[in-house]
Amino acid sequence: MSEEESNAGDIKDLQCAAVAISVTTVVFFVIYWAVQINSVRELLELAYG
Amino acid sequence: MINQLIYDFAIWVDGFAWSTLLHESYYMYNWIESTHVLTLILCLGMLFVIDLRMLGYALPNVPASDIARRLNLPMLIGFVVMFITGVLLFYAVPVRTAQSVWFRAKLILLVACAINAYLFHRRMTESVSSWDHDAKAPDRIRLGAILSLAFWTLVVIFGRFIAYDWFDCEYTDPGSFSQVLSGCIAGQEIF
Amino acid sequence: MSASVSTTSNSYRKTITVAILLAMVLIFSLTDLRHETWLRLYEFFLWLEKTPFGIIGKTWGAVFAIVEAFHLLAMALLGGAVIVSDARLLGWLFVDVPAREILDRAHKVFVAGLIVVLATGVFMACGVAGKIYWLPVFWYKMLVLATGIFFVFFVRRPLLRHPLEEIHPWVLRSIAISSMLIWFTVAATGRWIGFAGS
Repeated sequence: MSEEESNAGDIKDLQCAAVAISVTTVVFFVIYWAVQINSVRELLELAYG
Repeated sequence: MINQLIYDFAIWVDGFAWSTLLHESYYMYNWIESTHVLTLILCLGMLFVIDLRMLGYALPNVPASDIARRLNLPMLIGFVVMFITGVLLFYAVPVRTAQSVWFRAKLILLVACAINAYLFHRRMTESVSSWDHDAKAPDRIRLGAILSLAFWTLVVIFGRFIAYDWFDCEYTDPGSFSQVLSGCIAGQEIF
Repeated sequence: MSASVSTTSNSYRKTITVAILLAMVLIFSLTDLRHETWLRLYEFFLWLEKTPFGIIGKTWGAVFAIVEAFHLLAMALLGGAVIVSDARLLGWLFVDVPAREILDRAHKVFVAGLIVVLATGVFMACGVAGKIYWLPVFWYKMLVLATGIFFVFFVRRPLLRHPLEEIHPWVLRSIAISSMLIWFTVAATGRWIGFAGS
């Protein structure tokens, strides 16, 4: 029983950690790529009008 | 004579306005090149898993025909994207690329890859039912996998070398062996 | 009673570690600490260029190019393992093959690819250390690479050792999607380093 509880606790912990990293990753990358694409767009506007 | 034909073809392509626009457009050219390089992760990634399966190094408990069949589509999608971007890269810089030793070697290797892939595929469909669940494929199939890995490794290396100008017609001595390999035309003015 | 107390005190240890690390990275990035650390690393990067790897990389362009080609090939191998593995988690590929088989085997291929990518990457970094030190995109790549390695070995692999039926489907999807995002960004920022210096 205690081994099952420990196992269940492990999985909850790992799932929480996984969600924390995944959400952070997605948020970071949305911001990062939006900034990159925007700066490319601005440069292109500057270059080609 | 072949070199003259290739050079004339490259000059003709160079004449198109879009060729110059593409070459001079900083972002467009770089995006196409980046797509070409990054898509090899998809194309070669799938191909390597298939080849490694035949050699028994990857996913040995999954039937070989399953792996080949299912990874074929993403691999072909990657290959088509790489082919299109490759053509565009040639289109942007036709003369220098056509006279690049490395580009010519890369094309010959790509033909070798195609022949190897065809033979591999044919041998596989003929015999796979007998060895599908074995960890390692029969010798001839494994040879095809090894050749595939070797050829594609060289394709990537030679592709990387195209950027270097060691054997460029513009910078090497007329009549040198390097110029013979590159197919330089005596007295050419466009590079 | 004592058993349940000990499991409670062990639970969420990884989550707390992740939260602390994320907080540290944020504090580091948003304060002067980042700039100070960057300044202190200057001497180290100058030293990298003087190592045998650095000298060979700078002197023989052909050697550097071949190592770079193997960096790309290993990236393809790593990418292949990531795609197969994440596609299985998302239910796109090999759904009739036991997930355990795909995940365990793909991980082995991933590790082989990662070792070669890191070895060739270090060699190349030595050759161009003086240039990459000044490139923000290089530092972003290192941050994302470190995140990816930490994610795989500290969270993803331990989690996926458990039977998939015990894991919430949306957790599996979020792992797969963020994994593909991380490794794609490592590759893309790597490519941008090539442009930034030329």
